[in-house]
Amino acid sequence: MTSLELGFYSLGAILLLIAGRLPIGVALGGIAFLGIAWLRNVNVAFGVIKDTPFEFAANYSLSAIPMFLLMGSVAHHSGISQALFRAARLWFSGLPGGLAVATNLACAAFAAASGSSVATAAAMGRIAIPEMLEHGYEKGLATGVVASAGTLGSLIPPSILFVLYGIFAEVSIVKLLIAGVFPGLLTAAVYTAMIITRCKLNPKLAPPIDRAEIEKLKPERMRALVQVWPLVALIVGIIGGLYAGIVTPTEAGAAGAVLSFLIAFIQGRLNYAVFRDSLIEAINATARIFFVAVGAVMYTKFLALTGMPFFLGNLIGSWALDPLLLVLAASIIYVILGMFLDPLGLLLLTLPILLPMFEGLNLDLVWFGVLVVKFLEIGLLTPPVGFKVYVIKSVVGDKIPLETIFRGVGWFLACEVIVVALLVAFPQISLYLPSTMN
Amino acid sequence: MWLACFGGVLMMVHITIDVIGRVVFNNPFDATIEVVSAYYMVAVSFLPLAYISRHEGQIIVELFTRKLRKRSMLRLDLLVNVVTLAYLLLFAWQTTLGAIERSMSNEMWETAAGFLEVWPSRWLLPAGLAVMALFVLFRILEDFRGAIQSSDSDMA
Repeated sequence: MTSLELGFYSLGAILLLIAGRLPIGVALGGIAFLGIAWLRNVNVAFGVIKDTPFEFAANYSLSAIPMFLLMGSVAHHSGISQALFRAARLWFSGLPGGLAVATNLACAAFAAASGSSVATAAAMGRIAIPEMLEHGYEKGLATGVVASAGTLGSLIPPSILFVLYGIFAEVSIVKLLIAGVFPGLLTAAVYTAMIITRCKLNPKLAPPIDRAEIEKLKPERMRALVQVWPLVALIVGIIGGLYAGIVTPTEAGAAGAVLSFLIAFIQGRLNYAVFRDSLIEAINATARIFFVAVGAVMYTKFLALTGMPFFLGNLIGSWALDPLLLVLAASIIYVILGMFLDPLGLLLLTLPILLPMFEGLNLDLVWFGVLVVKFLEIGLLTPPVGFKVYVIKSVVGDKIPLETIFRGVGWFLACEVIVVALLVAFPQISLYLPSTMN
Repeated sequence: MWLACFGGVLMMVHITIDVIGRVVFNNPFDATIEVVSAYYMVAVSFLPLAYISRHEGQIIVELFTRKLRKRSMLRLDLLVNVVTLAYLLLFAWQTTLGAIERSMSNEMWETAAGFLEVWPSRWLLPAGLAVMALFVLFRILEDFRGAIQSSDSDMA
């Protein structure tokens, strides 16, 4: 067996092990250990185990992850999601499909603060879905919007996926984070347009709310805004600070976490339980991510030994493939693997293999990063096993069948096809903002 | 776990003060980056591992095994846990060796203001990994007992 073949077999072995319920981190790291021991010797493999975990974790760029997570968990535990939904509802309920639009935007704002779209879907689902059903919204629309809208969060900074991608692809994390801003807003806009158009054409989907009731609620608008503006200002401030180069992503995250604690405190939402739960959640999530990532780093080292990345890069380079085909192939891989892997595991598993191919074609890795994050999120929605669709299903219980949720999500997937096509056709959507940074 | 949380809070506060110091007073702390990387990061990434395994927080894929019978599932879990245990022990053992080495050589990083001793934080790895391994071991023993009991009831 040549070392190159070994590289390909190792990939199959990992997928098999993962399917057999082995934790992803153990599968990646274990195969890497055995592979390195086979290619070199056991002592080299021991050496990799000895130093990789510390060297990987003791990394300043990565420290953005626990800080982003902390910021998000504070926002989550201090109940800001309710306030966001209430504010969005008061402002947008007059539009056709107003509650769905409100949910969409509240999800976008909340996901922007929290960085995890799965957590967003669960939190918002509990608040927004019952409200929409009560107003006679079609079940598919009510559930679909919550499942889909969280995808915006992983594009708009802070985004954990971008930080990890930046480390593995060795591109500027700040540029990646900034590059996600326009694609995130674009997605939100396309979603909103789709909801309004559908509800306008078919008012049965979303019965309009009483004019009188809207008028009655108008005075409350400002009050609702007072509650949420600090969070919105915080997100804008973080993006601005990153863009202007005043703060590093880690510093933005740390300051963001402190400020969200402060906001929660001033608004009287902070107590010991909130403080403790936020911390525990953020720290746990960090350790979980790093456990997988250490395995992925070892696997990357092993693959480098097999020469597989070099081989793939050359192969793709020599075919002088149309970049479009490669993007298409990548999208298919992500949609298929996204059916049963969570975005993080999927990202860490595929990057060591896909990145050399993109480098082989001299493609812009920031642009590819935006696409990858987009694909990861789409993978969470596609049948038969959209991860997030199951999250929503667990929120609504037996009231709504799985097929209805998938049908609702279908409309949003159609939007995603448009958005991805735009992102591929016009790389400037992603690259314009970072290119204006100094 | 509490140490890890404490590390998280310290990290947040330390970095924030550093930013304020630099932006507002043009007077940053020395060696923030090094302290953050070498101590807080290592603490928050490895100390909570035990907590994760206690609460079954590992990222695993359930799709393909959902249809398995309960018995086969128990056996599979047992196998998975044994492999995980071996993996963790291997890591704990090697990182201990690493920590001993660095302690002997008194590992330091050079910073703008001088040298920072980083060898103590090397010990956080074997500590976190070993406790995690311990919890996985407990789970194996528990599963084992469960498996024996269920086979008893099958016979009865």
